[in-house]
Amino acid sequence: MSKKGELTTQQIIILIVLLISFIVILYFLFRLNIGKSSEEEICHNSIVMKGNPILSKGDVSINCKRAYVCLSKDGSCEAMTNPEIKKVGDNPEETYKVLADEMAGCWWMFGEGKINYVGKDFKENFYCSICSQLAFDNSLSDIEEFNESLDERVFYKYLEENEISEGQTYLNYLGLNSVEQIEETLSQEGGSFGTFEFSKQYFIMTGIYSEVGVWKWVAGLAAVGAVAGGIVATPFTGGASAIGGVVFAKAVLLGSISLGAVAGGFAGEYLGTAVSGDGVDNDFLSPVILEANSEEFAAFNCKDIMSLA
Amino acid sequence: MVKGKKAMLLTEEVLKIIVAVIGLVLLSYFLISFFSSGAKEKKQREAIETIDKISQIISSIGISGGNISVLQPQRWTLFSFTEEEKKPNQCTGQNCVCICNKVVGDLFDRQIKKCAKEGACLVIFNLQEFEDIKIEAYAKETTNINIQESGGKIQITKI
Repeated sequence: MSKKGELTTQQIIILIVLLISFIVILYFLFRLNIGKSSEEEICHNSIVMKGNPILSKGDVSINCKRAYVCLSKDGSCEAMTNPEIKKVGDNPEETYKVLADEMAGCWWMFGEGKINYVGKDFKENFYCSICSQLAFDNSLSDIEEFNESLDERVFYKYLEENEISEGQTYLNYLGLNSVEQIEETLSQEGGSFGTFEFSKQYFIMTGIYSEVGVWKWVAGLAAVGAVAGGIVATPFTGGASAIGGVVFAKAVLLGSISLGAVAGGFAGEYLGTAVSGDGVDNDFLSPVILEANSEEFAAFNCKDIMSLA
Repeated sequence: MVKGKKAMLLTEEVLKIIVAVIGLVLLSYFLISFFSSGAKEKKQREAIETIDKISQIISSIGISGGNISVLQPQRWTLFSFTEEEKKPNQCTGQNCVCICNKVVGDLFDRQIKKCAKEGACLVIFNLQEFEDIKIEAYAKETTNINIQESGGKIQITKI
């Protein structure tokens, strides 16, 4: 006769089965990669909290982590350690879609240009946030349309022609108007779109300018001569959708940077577009893909990189 | 009959022990994770501070270079990643210096993974490879380093 409260063999076996089931369920939950979406939510929530004038009086900190993403055709990735591997097929549009979604996710996490998450700052500062670090596995070179690199213009055309949600293209969502308009503005400075080389790693970066605005920031950079590669900034005003902004290009020759007009023979690659905030006084850098730790990245002279590595 | 009952009892005992062991392992894992997460974060913050100091010295490096005294965090190690095939993600495929906890038995890139997950790194394009520098416990000795440029390369040495 068993003692009162003592476990029977049947109960013990049930316990073991339950424990094993729990471990199996946990394994599949991890495989589903729910962690990524929750990290994006955590980041977005911290930005919203920081942007709320009542809540931000307390000790609210931005809680955004950099994602390490590797695009691969065969599922392997030698360029990174434990990255989130995004498998793509032979169709180049699959690769573009991964990049487009990463950029859109970055814009969403940091408030889509509607939240001032840096508070009052009257100096000419630019606060940047690296949402993702991208690597391209060498298996991508097997895709016929790519030749060890990806054409930035073709990618931006994809953003312009494909919708993120009904009636809204990726490009519009990111606060940009049209590829032609960017190109036109770039060409005024002799610049053009570049390429993303598979041998290099890239950042998907967004950012916010202090309330003094992007033009004072550009002028401030020129005044201190702090730019390593140099940035050319040119304004453009929107057409039908009335989106206005500032297009940045890399200045090949270092020279003076003035408001809209540039002295010297500048010519360089597209570095991004600053757009006006929606309901806030700040300007924002629309998400852009920049070579990691490059001169172009350094040229932004980031005040604070507001995401954890 | 009595023998069969004895055997059944034995099976029950074994099963109970298995359940107890699984329970203990899970409990200890959760407890260790809970208490070590705070300590790890503190060490990571200290590592970032040290990396910032290295960065400041390198950005204003002259002929004499600069020293950093009393490196932190204690018991972590300063690594250089230069020519290897794989590097921690923060290095973006370039030469870099990292501060992280040293793993025992560096198999399957465990050290790189550890540095990528918990360490702090700084990209230095012209870094000269150096032997791992262990940051000793303060009770034992303080660890100091010298950073200088020589022949276009950044050298980091223990002093």
